[in-house]
Amino acid sequence: MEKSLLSKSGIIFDIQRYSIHDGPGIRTIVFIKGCPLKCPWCANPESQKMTLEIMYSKNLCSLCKRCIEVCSSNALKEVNGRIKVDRELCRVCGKCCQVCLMDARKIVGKRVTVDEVLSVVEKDRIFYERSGGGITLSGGEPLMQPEFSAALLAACKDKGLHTVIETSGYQKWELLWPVIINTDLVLLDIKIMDSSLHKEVIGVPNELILDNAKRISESGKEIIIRIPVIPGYNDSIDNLSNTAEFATKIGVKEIHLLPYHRLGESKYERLGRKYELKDIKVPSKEYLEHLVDRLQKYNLEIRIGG
Amino acid sequence: MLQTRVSYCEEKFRKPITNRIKRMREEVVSSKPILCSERALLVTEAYKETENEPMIIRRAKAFEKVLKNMTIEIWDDELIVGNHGGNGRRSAPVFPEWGTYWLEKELDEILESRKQDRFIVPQKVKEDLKSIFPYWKGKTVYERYRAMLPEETKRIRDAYIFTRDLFERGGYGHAAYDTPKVLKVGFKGIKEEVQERLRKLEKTNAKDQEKRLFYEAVLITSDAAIHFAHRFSEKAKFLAKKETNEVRKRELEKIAEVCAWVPENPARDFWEAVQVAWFLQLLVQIESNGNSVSPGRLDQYLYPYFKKDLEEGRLTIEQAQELLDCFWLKLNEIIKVWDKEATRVHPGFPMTQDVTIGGQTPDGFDATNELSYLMLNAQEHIRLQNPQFTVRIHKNTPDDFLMRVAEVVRFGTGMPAMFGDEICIPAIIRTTGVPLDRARDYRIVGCAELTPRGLQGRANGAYFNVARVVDLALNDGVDRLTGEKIGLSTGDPTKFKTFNEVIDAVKKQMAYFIEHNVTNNLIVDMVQRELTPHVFLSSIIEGCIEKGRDITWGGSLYGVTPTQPVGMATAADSLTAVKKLVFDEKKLTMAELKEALDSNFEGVRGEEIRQMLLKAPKYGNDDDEADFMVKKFTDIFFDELEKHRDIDGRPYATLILTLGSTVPHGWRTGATADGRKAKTPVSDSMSPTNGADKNGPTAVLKSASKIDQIRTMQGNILNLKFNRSILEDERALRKFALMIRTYLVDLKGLEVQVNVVDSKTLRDAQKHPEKYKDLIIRVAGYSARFVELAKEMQDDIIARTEHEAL
Repeated sequence: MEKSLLSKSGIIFDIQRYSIHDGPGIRTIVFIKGCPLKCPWCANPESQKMTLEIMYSKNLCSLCKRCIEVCSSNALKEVNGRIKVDRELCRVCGKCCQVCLMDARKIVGKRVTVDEVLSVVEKDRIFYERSGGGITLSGGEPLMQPEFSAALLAACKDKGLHTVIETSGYQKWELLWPVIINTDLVLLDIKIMDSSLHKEVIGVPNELILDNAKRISESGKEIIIRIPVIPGYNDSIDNLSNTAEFATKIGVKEIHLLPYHRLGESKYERLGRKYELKDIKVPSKEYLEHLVDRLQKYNLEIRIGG
Repeated sequence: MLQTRVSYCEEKFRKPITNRIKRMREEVVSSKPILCSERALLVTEAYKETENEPMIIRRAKAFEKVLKNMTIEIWDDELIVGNHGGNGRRSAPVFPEWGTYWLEKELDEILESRKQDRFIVPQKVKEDLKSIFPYWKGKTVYERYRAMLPEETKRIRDAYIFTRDLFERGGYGHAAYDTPKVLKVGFKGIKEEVQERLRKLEKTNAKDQEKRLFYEAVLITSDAAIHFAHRFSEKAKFLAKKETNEVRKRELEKIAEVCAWVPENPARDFWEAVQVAWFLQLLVQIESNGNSVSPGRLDQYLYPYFKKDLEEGRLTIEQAQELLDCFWLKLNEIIKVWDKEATRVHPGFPMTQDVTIGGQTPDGFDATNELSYLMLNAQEHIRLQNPQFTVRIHKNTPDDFLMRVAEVVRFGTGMPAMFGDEICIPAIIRTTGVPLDRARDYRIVGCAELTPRGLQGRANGAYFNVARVVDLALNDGVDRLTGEKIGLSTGDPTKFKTFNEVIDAVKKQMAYFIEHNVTNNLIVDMVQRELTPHVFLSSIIEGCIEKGRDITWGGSLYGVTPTQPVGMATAADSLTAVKKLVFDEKKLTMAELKEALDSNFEGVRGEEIRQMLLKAPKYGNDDDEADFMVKKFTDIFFDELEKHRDIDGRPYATLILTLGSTVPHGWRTGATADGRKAKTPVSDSMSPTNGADKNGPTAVLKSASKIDQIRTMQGNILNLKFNRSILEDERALRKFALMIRTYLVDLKGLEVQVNVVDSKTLRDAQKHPEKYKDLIIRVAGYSARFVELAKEMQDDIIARTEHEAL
């Protein structure tokens, strides 16, 4: 393996072992930081910016104020029983996280090399072998750091690991292809089929995504389309049918419906941001099964959950 | 050789719980523990009548007296009969032979009011027991043991470095008794064998005269067992006559027929075989209060009877299931009374009566059969504390069987515990030298003790606080809490120049305390020889009849004595932190560390030091720095322990199992160098320190696999915590099963058990997030841990957990 490959670096925000819903078998997910889309339902808001951020968990905080004392930018103060940060002043130096006794302050994001990530991913090799698992690149958006992702996946393939990428596919083909070429399975998020609605909700149109989907499929790579089912945003039968039709047309055989959940909600608060989807209800099992029924006429395997 | 496989999804082998079992289960669950004086009175009477006789005969006659006179009960709905106490369904008999001093102390108030394991004590029982206390004064095992203990060992024992509680004032239980033999020949056969051997003895040989006494004792206990069954037969006949319900009448008649025939004669069908298994399990526990008496590999022993009945159309699968469910319930009627100190270590009436399923046949084939599946159903139906239920997994364990095991695990009883043959079998052979076919036929006895046929585990050879041993090495043998010198002088720690000096000190302290532990055990075993031969148990342990010797005299074919290190992760993580912070990175001096530990991390500097210690690498994260220290440390323990032999000249072996001992041992342990505060619990079994593992279950398994587990021949326990959400659907369950298989087969792990976290634990995690950093949530494409969720979201997950539990 080329040395230069191993020394490439990128910013990730988590590595999670024993992941069981993101590709076959037992997997290790590497969460890449940074995303070009702005989905209001995003469950990993800490993934959106490529830069480092600090998250604060009020329920873990003991208000010992060690963080305030150590902050050299005077960015922290106690307001109404919580530590408030002035994000204008904060330079994200991370000192406050180091002194926190309760793990209430955590720096999100870390620059790492391919070699470093690989050494963690390889630890569970014995579990991948029996279960048919491997590595999954997720995010954020792995394609936001295309060179790093490409190098990481190339290194994984070199080590004989099964590779999966979880992506929205929103990237220029020239940058996307070097990543996909070392990917065994693409979990492609298609949220909304109507391009103008896509732009309105997520911030960008979807032609590039659909075009990439087609080209990836033509290249012979296996794709599973994943649709986050967000009530009121994209759960209309029209949108789902259109997605299924598109899938059939480009030769995709499997669709996963990922039901909306609110597990990410508290992260917004911890980042000092606002969660916009307050009023949306988590779809019931019956409702999801009803959606699956409606998609039965397409010759696709439809699954609820990853 | 082709093997037939049964598939778990075949409707044929999934059976629902019947109304009879539901009713009986409710009865057992709602019966409160109550003390019973009957056995104590009868044993006292027997002892008074036999004072001129040799102890072995006195023991046999006491057993006979109890069985002839105790109240017997056949409860409504029962198919398998035989009761333990004479005072209701969950009544605990008293065993004065092993010690009465604690009962005298606790009888009037404490038993009914103590925090753990309370009993109802009727006035009559109090009076009965008080009437016999004077007789037993000075005659019990515990008193004799204390009188014989060397002063230095007594001092160390009382300093609580190691504790043996139940096993200093209780009998032996950890033995693999021979159910197949009794099924095959009955006690009639055993008697014939004994009589034959009696005839061949030389009258003028002293050794043979000793054997004669043992054989005569066995004849007494065998007849007593037969007679006991006949009493149930008579009772069933009597009840049948009065019974108006025709169905129940026929059942009672069948019970009468079964008990008239077994265990005297060879079992003829499945019902009789199950009844024999129960009688043996019960009788051993009436003879002594030894803990962890275990039925063993019932799916193997009972299979020939099941198969034959099924083939001949005498039994349906539903009937077999109901008989097994009855057996499962019966195990939950057994209850023993222990003193307050012992219940702290063994809280919650743990009888640890182990049933083992699956595994291999003596010739190495997969042993899974239809009964293995039916026993999983029984576990699903009963879901109570007993049996301690375990399954053996090996490289040829069928996938569908493992999936069904995973399903039952998901119900959240923590059972079955899963053991890996790939390491258990070599570990047994390495330590005990039994032949391969015997080793393959091992069962679990108690919680984790690997026990091949014919092996007597000499009870628990102590909970041994290794966290404290390390702390004493870091404090020149002085107890950090009391200031008392209890260990060896191994040098002023502030003068240590290299980490090797720390390790040397640990080795010396370890050797010193293990030696005293072995002495302590030896004295108890000497007293048991003298005062409490276990005649009935010996009559069904391989080797005893052949040698003409009781198990207390080394009669069993094989033997082993375990010792349990308590606080393994606490000890090893302490050493990792010392090495890294004091000697490698020099961020801390030994003097600073000593001050911080002495003061329990007082003051700002104390807290800073504690945080440095807490952030040092910890076992359970698949981090080689921490894991190699655990390996190094456990090797020190193994090396020292394995130098010793027990009273019968048999090996000592490690058992990494702590039960509740982490709490009382924690109370007596000062602050430790892993950042643990004084008097808080030390780490559990082979698990990482609570909350120290942050990389998920595969990392924990990898860390554990770095320990030389072949040297834990008496077993080890690795607890994994799972939120139900990650075992929910079939795909997730399959991945879980594959993870288990990877650990047990590929990584050669010895044992793993899974606690499916209940809502109570989740609430505790809300309150004490620092203890639950390892609690993971798994949702597609989402990254988080439970403790980091907002309270409302945590509440939601708790509510869902509660809902699912219904």
